[in-house]
Amino acid sequence: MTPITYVESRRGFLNQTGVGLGMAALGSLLQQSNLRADNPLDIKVGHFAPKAKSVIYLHMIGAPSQLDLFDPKPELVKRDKEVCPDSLLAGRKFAFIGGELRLSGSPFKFAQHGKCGHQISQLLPHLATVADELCMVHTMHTEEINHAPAQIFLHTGFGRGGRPSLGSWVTYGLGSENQDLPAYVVLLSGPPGGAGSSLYSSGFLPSVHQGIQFRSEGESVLYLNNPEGHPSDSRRRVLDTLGTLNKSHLDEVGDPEIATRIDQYEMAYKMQTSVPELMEITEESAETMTLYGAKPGKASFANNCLLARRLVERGVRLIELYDSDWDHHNNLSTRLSAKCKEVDQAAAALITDLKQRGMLDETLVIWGSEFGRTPLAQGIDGTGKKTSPGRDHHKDAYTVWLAGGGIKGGVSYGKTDEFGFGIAENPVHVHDLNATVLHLLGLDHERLTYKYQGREFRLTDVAGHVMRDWLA
Amino acid sequence: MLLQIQSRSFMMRTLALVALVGLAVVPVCSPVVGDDEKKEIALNGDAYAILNRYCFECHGRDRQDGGLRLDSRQALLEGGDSGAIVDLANVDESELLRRITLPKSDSEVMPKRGDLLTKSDLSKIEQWLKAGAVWSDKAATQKHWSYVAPKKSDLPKLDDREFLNPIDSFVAQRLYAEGLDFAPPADPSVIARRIYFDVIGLPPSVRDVESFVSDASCGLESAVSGLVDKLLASPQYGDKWARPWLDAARYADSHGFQRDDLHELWAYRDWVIRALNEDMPFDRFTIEQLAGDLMPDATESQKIATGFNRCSPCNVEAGTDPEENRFNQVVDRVNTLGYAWLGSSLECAQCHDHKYDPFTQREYYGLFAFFNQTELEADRTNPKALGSIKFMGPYMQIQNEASSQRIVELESKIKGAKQRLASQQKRADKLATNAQSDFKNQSPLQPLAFESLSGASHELLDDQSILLREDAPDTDTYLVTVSVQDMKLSGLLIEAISDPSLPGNGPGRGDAKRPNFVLSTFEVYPVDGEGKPSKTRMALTDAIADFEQANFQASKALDEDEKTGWAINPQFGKSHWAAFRIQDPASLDGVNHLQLKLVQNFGAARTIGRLRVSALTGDYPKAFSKATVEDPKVAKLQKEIAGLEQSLRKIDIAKTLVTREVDVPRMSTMFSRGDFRSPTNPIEPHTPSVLHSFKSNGLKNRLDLAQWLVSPENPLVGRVIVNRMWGEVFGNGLVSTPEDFGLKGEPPSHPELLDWLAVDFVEQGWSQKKILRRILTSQTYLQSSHMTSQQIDRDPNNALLGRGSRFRLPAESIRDNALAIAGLLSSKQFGPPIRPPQPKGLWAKVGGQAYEYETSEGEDKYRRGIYVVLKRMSPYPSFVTFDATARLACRVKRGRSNTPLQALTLLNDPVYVEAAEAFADRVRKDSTGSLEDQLTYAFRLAVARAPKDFELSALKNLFQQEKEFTKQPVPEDAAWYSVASALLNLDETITKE
Repeated sequence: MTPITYVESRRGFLNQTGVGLGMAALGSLLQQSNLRADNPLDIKVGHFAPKAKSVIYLHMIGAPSQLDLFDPKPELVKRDKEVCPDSLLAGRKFAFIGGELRLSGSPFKFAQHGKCGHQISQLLPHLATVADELCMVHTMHTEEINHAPAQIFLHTGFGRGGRPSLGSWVTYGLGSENQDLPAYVVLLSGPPGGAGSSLYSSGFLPSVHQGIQFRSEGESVLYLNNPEGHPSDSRRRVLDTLGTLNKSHLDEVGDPEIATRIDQYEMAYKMQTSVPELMEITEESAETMTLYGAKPGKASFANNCLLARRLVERGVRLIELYDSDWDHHNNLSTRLSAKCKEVDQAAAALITDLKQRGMLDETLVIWGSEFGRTPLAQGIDGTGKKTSPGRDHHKDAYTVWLAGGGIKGGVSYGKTDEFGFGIAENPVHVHDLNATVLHLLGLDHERLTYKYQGREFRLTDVAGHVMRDWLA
Repeated sequence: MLLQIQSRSFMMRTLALVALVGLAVVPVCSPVVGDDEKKEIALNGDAYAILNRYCFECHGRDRQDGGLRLDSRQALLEGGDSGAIVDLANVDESELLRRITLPKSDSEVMPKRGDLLTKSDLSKIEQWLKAGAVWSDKAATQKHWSYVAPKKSDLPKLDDREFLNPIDSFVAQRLYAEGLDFAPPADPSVIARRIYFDVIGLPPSVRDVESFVSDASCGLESAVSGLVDKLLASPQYGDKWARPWLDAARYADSHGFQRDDLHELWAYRDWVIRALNEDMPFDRFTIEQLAGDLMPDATESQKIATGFNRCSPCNVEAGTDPEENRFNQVVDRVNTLGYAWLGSSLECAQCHDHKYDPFTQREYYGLFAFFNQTELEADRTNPKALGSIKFMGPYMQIQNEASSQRIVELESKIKGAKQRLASQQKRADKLATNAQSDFKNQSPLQPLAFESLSGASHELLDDQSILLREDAPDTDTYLVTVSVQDMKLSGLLIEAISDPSLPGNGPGRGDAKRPNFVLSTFEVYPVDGEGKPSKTRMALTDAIADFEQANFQASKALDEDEKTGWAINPQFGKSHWAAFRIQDPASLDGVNHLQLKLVQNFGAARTIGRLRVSALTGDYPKAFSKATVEDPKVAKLQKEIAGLEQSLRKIDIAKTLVTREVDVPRMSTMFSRGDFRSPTNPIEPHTPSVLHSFKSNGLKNRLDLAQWLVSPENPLVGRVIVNRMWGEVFGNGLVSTPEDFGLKGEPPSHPELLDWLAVDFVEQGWSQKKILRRILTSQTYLQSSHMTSQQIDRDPNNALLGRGSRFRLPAESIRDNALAIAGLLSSKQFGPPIRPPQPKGLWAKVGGQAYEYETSEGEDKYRRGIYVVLKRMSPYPSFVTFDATARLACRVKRGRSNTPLQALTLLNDPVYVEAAEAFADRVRKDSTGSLEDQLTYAFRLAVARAPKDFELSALKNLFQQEKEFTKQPVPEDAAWYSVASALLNLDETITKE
């Protein structure tokens, strides 16, 4: 279990954490004997100079329809409701639909936005205002056709559970700039993804790299609050005694793990202040609250976007936002419109806000999902099902966008065919996206490895190319 | 184990210190004594093995990056595209040495990926080059150590010391060679606690410690021996040792993936615990789990054991291809076999020949073929509906004598009651049918539009009913638009129809046991010419139904209260109807369409699964009254049956997932790139050729495979198992990569010891208890775990075993330990999983069934961690924090991290808060002496040893401060709580010292 051993910028973390309790003496003891176990979250230098320091990953759980948001298909609209020719279906696999399949054009209007002329649907008016910041990737494709495996694949590069998530890889590779907060934070609006907490699991990496969910209801971090009737001053006295006893045991036993344990208790104590302070969005200006459409005390995507910015400000490495209910097998026009109203303003506000504060250059924002949706209608397919139309899962071509953090804004990358079934040029595999995200953070996806069960594992398995055309 | 080389000059200095070499790892092929020629051969062999391990993947037979090959002397000396890499005349300046000694951060470092060469490896390569890089053909053909059957070598002869336990002889030999010696034994109280943790996973009581300490004063060895024997006979042994095996077996209580439904497999978990307690020989332990169902006259217990195979995750997310799921499960079984028994990562060979270990893709599918004949576990309920996958089983019911009798009794009572009901019902049904047919001109209405506001999928059937499908939302509202043009409607009939695709045949969608529905409100709106429903709903009255649950009458669907409605418990599994009279039929004049709104917001998917709407025309029968529908005798009988059935359910007719072979064998093939859609050549079941030969009873089935696996000729299995046991006890195996005994794994620190134990394991009848006993009665085991800075510098990972091991307890033990210290722990064993307190909302429903997390009551709440429910997509949070996994795949070694969340858990998780409270109470109840006495007692409960003066005064200080400053009504309580909490959080408390 040897962690990757980059040349370290700082050894030990005594200087970073400044723990009380006569820890200075302890520190010198440890330095002398080279005793201190490395903190896996110490800042590490990557393989090359990073463009981005942090990532905010906006994951729309369930898969929004790219054909109604970012990838207009006039031909599909023209031939709406026509029976789909078999030639277009060869080799395609669908999760639900079968029988006589019909083409389904988007009912929504598209227009060009920004200097770059990105095509954006009427459902995303706010996002359209930041079009020039976005690198729009139209040719994402993946291996998995159902939600849980595809979500796991997107996050871990493998379709079954048990491997580390992108966020875990990143904190493993780079450590954290803030030792008072977790390095990898997860925020939810709606229920979690189909794959549950395995999406932000550290897999076989040490559990310190797992994503920690900050919750909007109850305790913001599990077990953060002191039990009722035990105030902070009492807790401090318990910790002081604990520290004293642990320290004396360390002196006797000499195991550096004890020194690490002492530090973890001090960090936990600090988290009890730093986390509530972070979650307190009421200290934001009215202007900012309006920009995001955030409302204190509500569990919403807007609040989470604002929290994400606050987390980046505090040096948190990777923040992932999950927003659920994008799985529109039926009644797509109503449901997609409603979902867009929930996320459009806040996602655009996030980019605007980061830019205003000069943070966008070093913060990579990604908006995407586990796959896209079919150019075919689900629900009026002649097999007896009568529903207002939706779209099935589509893994062969879909859209994600990236912004900030070393990304060239205004790029429109890749082309899909005239119906949106397949890729006409410049395909981008999930591994390519992940390789590029790591690259922007200064990590070489081929060299960021972890040895486990006899193999050097990578996030990108044995594939992946950095997408140079996206880079600023 | 990897040592960072900071710079070339540093490296060269290091290389000069040849004496240091070998500290990290004993050369595997090293000779026992140093005869020059043998030494040279060994060096060549080592060099080859090192190049093989680090270089051949990219510079070997299959691939030559940079035009460079390193697998023959000629190729090595030729170099690659950019010239020579070795200069035998000036070895120090060789490009090869430069590249392999660069720091990890350098972009030119080799190997480019993975671990760098260890100091010892670097030194060997350098020596070998300086000796002329002699290439021995033998080295290239020599089998990797782990594929050669182990032998018991003679015990080392040590000049002045004799050891009773062979473990100590081997360890001493290595220590002496390094000029080191054993550390002194740990304090007896520490030893007692250590043994308790290692055998039963629980701390000793204060009295247990006292009695051991007193025994030890008359002789440590006999005291240890006596205690180990006593504890090995304890039923708690199985609770402790099942945990690592269940990690490997990836045992969990749910399927995994999106539809993470709970399944019943706990009988398998209990089987493991019982088998370990009985010390079932490991060969039988293996065979029964892999192939108990195929054993001649397989017993129930042997079939339960095959639950092992059923621990593979199962994906029943709607839209999943059942064959893909099955394929993935078989893959998981092959990979698990590799890690758990062979210490080998076979999984690479799913897609291509293994890159460095001698397993081909063909051999992978040879193993695959053995597992390829089991029943499908999930399938489409409707072959035409791609999204209709459902979990099928197979389950086996478990007999239990005590309950069997009661079951027979109840079943006969139910049968009798049902017969009486049937005859009574006939009369009632007739009345109800008459009532229904009383409606003249009753005709089904074709829905022009149907919408589920929760987005549920549905289809229209030929009889004009609508069948809801796939995942059922908790609550739903249906909007049905129907045409009523020229109909002279007098009422509307709502039918909730049973259907085989619904859980328990419906008519509700929630779950198979109680497929109820609750129609909270039923509203009807006229639709205008533009298709817009009116804002005013039509007045309905005289609601009647064929059956109404107590307090859930059809009339409740008409009231304003959305909390009440029409429901049908306990008449599940059959169709029901309700009729509603339109108060003012005249108001329908000119209305062509109606929109019906069926609100069903009870929750837990108590929604109608198949719905039909019919028009009632003509006169709404005036004479019709409830009395004709309801028959009090029927109701009474139904109540009686419901009561009996509930008693029956409470008896727990347990079932468990088992492995079953299909009747008609599937053809097995290879799969191109490991893709289930690309089968290629047919293949017969067979085993990897690098291992011992396979003997078949003719069938080549799982039973043959299992027997092959535990053949005494298997070079791996004995080593792999004793190594894992060693790792449980010492924190690290003799091979520190227990999952990988292949080329890239770490070589054993004590190869002869490992082999000796592996052979001994088989000779002792595959007894795990005997191996454990041997380990725990060694001097090596009893050493103090105190470390000096010299030791840490020289042997940070304790590879030489010159001291005891100390490391944090595993997740489950941390809770067990706290509960035991607090006096809360229940030793109750076996049965369905338990649910200790966890924060609300963690079991969020995504797909599949919704589950309430109901905290266990009574002693169940305090049972050991091995019994805690494991829901894969939401595992018990505090266990995950302490490095337990979701068990999505085989895992033979857990991490041991040290994080702030662990601190928060032990300080604030209600489980630990309760433990601290109970601990505080217990101390005062058990010990009534002075404050010092009480604090001493508490300290001993927590860590077994007595506190030092300094420690006692620190605790006393805390106690007094807390008492002084607290605002709680009883200051003493607050003070004791704080003391208890501090003790439960000590590093020592959660560590096996």
